[in-house]
Amino acid sequence: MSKGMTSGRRGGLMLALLLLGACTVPPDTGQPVAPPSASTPAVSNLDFNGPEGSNALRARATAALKGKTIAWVPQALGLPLTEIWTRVMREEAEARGMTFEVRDSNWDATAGLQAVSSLVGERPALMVIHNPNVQIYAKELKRAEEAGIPVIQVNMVSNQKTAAYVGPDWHQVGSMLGEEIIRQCGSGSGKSGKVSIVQGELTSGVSIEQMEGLSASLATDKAIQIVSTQTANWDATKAHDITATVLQQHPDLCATVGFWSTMQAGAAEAVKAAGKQGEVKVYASGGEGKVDCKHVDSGLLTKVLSYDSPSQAKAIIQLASFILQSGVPPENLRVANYSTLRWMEKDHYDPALCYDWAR
Amino acid sequence: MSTQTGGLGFKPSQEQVVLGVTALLALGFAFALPGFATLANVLTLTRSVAILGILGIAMSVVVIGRGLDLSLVATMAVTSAASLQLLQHGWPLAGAMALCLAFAVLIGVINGFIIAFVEVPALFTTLATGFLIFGLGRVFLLDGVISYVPEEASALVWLGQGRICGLPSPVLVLALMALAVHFLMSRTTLGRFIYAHGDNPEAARLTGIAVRPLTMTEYALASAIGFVAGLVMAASTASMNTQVINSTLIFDVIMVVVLGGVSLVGGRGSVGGVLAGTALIGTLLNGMTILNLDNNIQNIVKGAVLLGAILLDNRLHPRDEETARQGD
Amino acid sequence: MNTGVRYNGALLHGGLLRRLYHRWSLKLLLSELLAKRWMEPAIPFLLMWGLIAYFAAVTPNYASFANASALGRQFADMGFVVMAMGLVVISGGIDLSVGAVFAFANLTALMLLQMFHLPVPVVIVGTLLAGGMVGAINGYLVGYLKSRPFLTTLVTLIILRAVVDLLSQRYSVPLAMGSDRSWLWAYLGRGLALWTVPSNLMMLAVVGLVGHIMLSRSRPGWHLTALGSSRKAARHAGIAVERTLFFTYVMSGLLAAAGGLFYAARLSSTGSDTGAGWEVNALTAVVLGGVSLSGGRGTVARMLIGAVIVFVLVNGLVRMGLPGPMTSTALGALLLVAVGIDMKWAKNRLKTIQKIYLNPTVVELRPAPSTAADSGTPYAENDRLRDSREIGLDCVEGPEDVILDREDRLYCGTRDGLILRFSGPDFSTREVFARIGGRPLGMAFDREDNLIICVGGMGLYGVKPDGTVYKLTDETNRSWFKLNDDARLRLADDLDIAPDGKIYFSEATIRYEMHSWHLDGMEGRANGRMICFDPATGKTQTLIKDICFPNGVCTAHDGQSILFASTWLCSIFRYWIAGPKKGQIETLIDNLPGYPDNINRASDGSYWLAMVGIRSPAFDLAMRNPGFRLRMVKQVPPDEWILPGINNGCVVKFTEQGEVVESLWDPGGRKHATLTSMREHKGKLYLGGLENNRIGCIDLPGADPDWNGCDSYWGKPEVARDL
Repeated sequence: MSKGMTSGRRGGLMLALLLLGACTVPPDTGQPVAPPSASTPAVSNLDFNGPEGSNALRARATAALKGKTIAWVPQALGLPLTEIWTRVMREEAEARGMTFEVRDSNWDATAGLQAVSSLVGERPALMVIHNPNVQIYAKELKRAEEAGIPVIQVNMVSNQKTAAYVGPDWHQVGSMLGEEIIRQCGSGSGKSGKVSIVQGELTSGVSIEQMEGLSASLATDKAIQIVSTQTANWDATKAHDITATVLQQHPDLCATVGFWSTMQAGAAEAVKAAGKQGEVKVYASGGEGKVDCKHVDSGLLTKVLSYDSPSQAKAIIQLASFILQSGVPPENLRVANYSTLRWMEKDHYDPALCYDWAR
Repeated sequence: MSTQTGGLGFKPSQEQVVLGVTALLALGFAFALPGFATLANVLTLTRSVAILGILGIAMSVVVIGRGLDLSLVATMAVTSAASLQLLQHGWPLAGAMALCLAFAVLIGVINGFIIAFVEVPALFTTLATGFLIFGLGRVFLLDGVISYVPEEASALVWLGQGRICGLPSPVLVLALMALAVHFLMSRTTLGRFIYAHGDNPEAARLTGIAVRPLTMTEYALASAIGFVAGLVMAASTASMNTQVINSTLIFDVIMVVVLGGVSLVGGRGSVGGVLAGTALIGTLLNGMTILNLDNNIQNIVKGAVLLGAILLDNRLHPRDEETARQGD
Repeated sequence: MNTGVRYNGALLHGGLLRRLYHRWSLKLLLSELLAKRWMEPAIPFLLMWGLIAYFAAVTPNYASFANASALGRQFADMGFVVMAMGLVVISGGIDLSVGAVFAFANLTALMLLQMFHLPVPVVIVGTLLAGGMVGAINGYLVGYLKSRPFLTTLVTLIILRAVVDLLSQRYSVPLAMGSDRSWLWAYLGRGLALWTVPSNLMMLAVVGLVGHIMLSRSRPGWHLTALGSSRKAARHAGIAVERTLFFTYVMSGLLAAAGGLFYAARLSSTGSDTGAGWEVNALTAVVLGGVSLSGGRGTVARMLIGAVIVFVLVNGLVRMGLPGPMTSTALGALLLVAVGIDMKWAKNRLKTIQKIYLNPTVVELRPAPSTAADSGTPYAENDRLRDSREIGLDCVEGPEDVILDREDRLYCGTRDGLILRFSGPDFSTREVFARIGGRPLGMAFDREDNLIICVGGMGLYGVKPDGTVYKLTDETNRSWFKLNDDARLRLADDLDIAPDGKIYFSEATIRYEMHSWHLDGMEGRANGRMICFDPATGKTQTLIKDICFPNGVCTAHDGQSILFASTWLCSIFRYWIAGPKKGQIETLIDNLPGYPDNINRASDGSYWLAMVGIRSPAFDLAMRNPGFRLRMVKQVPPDEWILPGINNGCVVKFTEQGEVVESLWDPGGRKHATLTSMREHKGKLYLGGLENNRIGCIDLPGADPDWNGCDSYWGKPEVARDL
């Protein structure tokens, strides 16, 4: 896993540089070029009209992007994370002249599968997929690639890898969360060392990989005792019930960590209801924009590891633009753009992370 | 768990059987498990099933009238989420509550109308209206799956998270609701009529009871109580997650109701029975939690106990399956 | 085969369009369409096609083969679950655990395959067994322990879901990461049967067909349906209630497991939301398709129609990019509307059919010849029937036709399905010759002295001389282009036998029954036909279609043609059965002053004709105005309707050439109203009436005192034996 990570990181860096370069084409000033004459030296170094000229560059970019459809299949709309993504992606795509379509399956994996399957038949220029679990879309994604449709997977990855992946390195997320927990609850902290883990959908990539990283990290400290690893299936109410039970069973719980901040907010409420807010540390990873900020401000969530969803959305569209312009067949691409991870805690976070999608 | 009645000379009602089982379980847990028989634990127990109990009371009003309201959870979630939404937009607390209560009552009236006047069976109607409420609510009323309680409305949060003399407020709400509905069903004419309606609708109609408006009243009452349950639920987590509609909560509610002796054939049972059913479920879940059982194993045990209760009920109150109708 | 004789061609005058409008009535088509059994699921069927058409128009690429194939593959899993639910609902129960069994089977299949690495056939058997076991548990609880299906399967749902969650959590990683290499597994998931149909869809079709045959044509299926219809009656009929219920639930478990198996093969995915909510979808589908929730009604086709509707709707809405909750709204609204309409439709279908069944048409007749006593025409009224003698007064009920045999014994049919025989010098000895049932109408003797009878409501029957009743035929060939199933004989009216033994008989109407023949009169349509039965081959064949109430039938004296009467057209027609004009129809007499009924031979080479009613200008006017008749039938009670003048008795004699020579009357019908037949026998004329309580007999001065019908047809007995 680590090997792929470093090369992927390198690749990502190169991509970023490429894109940076691509985005800094100087604008057309529109002033006529003086024809070389005896008195003026030939100083035109901006070739507008040749095959390497700016006009040709613009024309190629426009031809590759204008009117092309990007189809987006989230697991469900209405969540802060997916709303942020949808809004930012739409803005970015439409600014580039592309059409942006959403297929909302509202938590129904079967309907989502049908949507993906029908999209493959409709041949959009590019698909952005949010997989409910690692297996369910696998065969359809393969079909999409064979049909020449590039697929970008975001956050929740499938067993079938495709042209690009945009999302955190979940293993690293798990490790970082684990390290933070060890710092707060491990040996030498004077606490009980008991940790409760609230997982997401157990067959989803997010949950599997975070769990791996987290367990590996927590295993390094003997004082840490994982008392519960139940799953709440992304449902805040279930997280609340599980955590309430755990608190009953282990009143000296030190920390609870959840794999999605919206879900973990339910666990945090259980902690608060038990009167232990501040005493029991609540950790999560998330990209919920202003909702995360609100929770952190109120002390509900102790610390959130944010993957900056608006930036993710921009990265997706930038990648899409690159893939479409380059014309590289999707099966030849296996690119990963790992999101930058930043901690959010009370009075100590970047306000840019508080994106308000309803604005 | 004996079903012999020879020595006693009376047949225990289902409610009494359930209470008996609960008592036995509680005793067993109290002896076997440390930490069960403490006040704090009992309060936690009742608090965790308070919402289920309130919903059970709401459902029992309809079931006693020989109906069924599968849209109860949808109504509960959407109306309380809508009230949170209004609070977010700056409405005063009383105003938002009143409006959403009226909305819940309206949903109940519509349910009752379709069942009574268009004569579509209750099972389908409420199944369909459940979908409709969820869909229309999400599309037109709500801004997303989860609605949060705004800072300014902390008074509301007290409803879910506060305490009076150590009693958690959801338990208080449950107690109040139970008293109110019990008074309604056993001491008022309306309650008597509901029992009559459930026992034999045709006879009720013939004796002059306005059966159709009565149906609408039953469903309106259920929806209103459901709204209250939704408020408690929203208050206890400071948010309302409309995904709860997709869960099996509605089936749990029906379980509690039937367990408590409010038979789906209508016309029998009481609020006390619902409370007994709730108590059984609560004791069971609490004990299993202390036993450190996995959530899923808890569900399996819950299911097995319920199955036992149903079979026991069948033994005690054999129903003539030859003339029984669908939905029993 | 002739299809002429609808309306007298010469009588067309004015209003061709109006004529055509009434003749080709759309309402008639609709009423017959609605009465068909396969119209019951009409609304879901239309809804299904409507949805498919809508989405095909709105979504690009929908109506392509690739898309249909993909959709079919996705649909098949759901189809199995819906079938599981539907079967249980038909048996009067409900199975809320179908979604959970589906998820359980999915999990079992993946576990067996990816964790225990068992060969695929074992996986298939194991998965089906798992589903069957859950079904068996349900079946045991509901069937033998008599537990409530709703609650029991609810509990099964809860327990199974918890088990699925538990196992999938414990083994989530190996399950998520496994992969399959078996060709059979790949075929189940991705393969095509018959080069075009997805494998799971093909399996669904096969299972559906088997299920349909089982439900509708096999004993276990009938038992299942009977259980749902009325458990009490089923038990009383001796059906093993518990066992049947048990097997119903087992089948439900097997079907849901089959769905799970295909799902596992196709997706190899398991999650906590697999099959979540599918029981509700299945219930919706079953209800939408028209399977009654109270049990006892429904077919596999209906279930699958409902399943297609739900599937297409959800799929189409997601593809249109609508937000997820809108799909929920649409499904809820659809369920409400469909169930509401379906209930109203089921309640009102028969009422609607009743309302639009009667479709009067124009019957235009020339002014009737005068029957006034002083008119001087052969039709002039007299009272020659007034002095008839009574036979069997108050001992017969409605002798529609009378006939005498060689031994001078008098036979007649009665309202209560008996054939009475009167014998003795005054016909004073009355005995029941045979009990047939139905409503015996026209009679004739064949060569072997068997009495052949047209029995209204039953068909063509015969009675041997010893009184044994036997059936000749009760059905004829079904006409290809009529919705109405006219294979069955509804109102066989009169018959006669040709010299070669073939029996020609009339069926008065195919749209009404014996008890509602007067409605056919109100309609005045050409609803009747002439049929021929050949005793030698046993074959029945319709000879002439679309005749306006054919009634009396008589073989001509020379045996070369058949005369038949058309009651509402007041005409007699001749149908040639031999000779150069064989197969042709010609009008013999038209514009009779009354409504002709039975025709029988007279001794002098002419024919007797009974007139069941006399025409009146008022009724003729009514027959020209179908709108008036329709309004009258709808708004006025039957005892106030305008009717043909059947309270007159009249017998007419006409020659071979169709010339009417004399008539005999009972004015006012004191003794012989509704006179439907007369039979000449040895110089006397015997009279029968459809509603009468006696048989009449008058002398015919100048008639041959030795003439009888049997000899006229078959010759003298000695002569016959010599041949």
